[in-house]
Amino acid sequence: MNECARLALVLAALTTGSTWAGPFDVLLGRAPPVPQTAQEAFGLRVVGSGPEARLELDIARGHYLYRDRLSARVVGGEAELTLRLPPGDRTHDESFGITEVYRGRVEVPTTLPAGADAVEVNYQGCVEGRLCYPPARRVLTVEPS
Amino acid sequence: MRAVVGALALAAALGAGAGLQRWLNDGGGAFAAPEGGPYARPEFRLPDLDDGRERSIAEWDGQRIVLNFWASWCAPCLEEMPMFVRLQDRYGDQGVQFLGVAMDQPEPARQMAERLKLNYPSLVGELDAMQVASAFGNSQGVLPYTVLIDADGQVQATHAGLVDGADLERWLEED
Repeated sequence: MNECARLALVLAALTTGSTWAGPFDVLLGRAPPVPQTAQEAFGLRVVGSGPEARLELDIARGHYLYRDRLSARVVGGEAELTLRLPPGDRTHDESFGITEVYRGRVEVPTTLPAGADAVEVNYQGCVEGRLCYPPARRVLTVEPS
Repeated sequence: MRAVVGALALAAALGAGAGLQRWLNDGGGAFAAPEGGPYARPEFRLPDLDDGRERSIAEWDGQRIVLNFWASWCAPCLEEMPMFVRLQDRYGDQGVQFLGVAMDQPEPARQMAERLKLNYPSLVGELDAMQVASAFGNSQGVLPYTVLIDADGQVQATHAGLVDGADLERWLEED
């Protein structure tokens, strides 16, 4: 195999099968793949139990979630869970003033009551500078840590 | 509020909109013609944001309509709406009518419309407005979402996301 063919194979291996665009996508002039739905764009998990529980956010590149629009409650319960929200990225928006948003991976500690096995999470997010997904609610099964 | 959010989420989960798919696949860009070509605009009725009176889109038949779905919580929507206000001023006497549909609760939408000094009508609704958006090819309910309807009532193009002002003006300049 000559050097060109080997390089082509390496490039192909590096640029296929990945979910998000990498530097090779840019070099090859590909449009970065973008999630097609809010469910794909905003990965959510609830992990652990009691005071060690946490909500894990895995936000696709080029997307953000509003910190103040994140809430959760145990399915079947009335009271909202207290989410110990870490600071987000502060951005100035002409319409909303200073807002905090989350990008990338974020862990939000919380405390789950005994026996909680499913949590309902409300969230709302956007694609940077382009469009917003509507407010959404997702029911998540609590996973062991 | 919870019921509303749940309903919105349910509606959002119903499937990916063709317009959004096209927009996402081309990385943004301009208006795109509907797959399968222009089609007769769906009929719908929603309350007017100003006075709650139910209005039909048929009221604006015979005009070229820029139908814009928006919400008070949608930053990109608020970014582009001042441009719509300017374009309504500029093209209003040439048979162009901007028409908003706020996918929102009436009060925050009304306050935002006042703040933006909207000079064109806006209708309002929550799940029902989402159903209207879906009928126009936006089944995910993403915002902003803009639809160009010609004077014959044919949906000529749609766009999910911030509108390219130059692209919109090209359409507005057409006879």
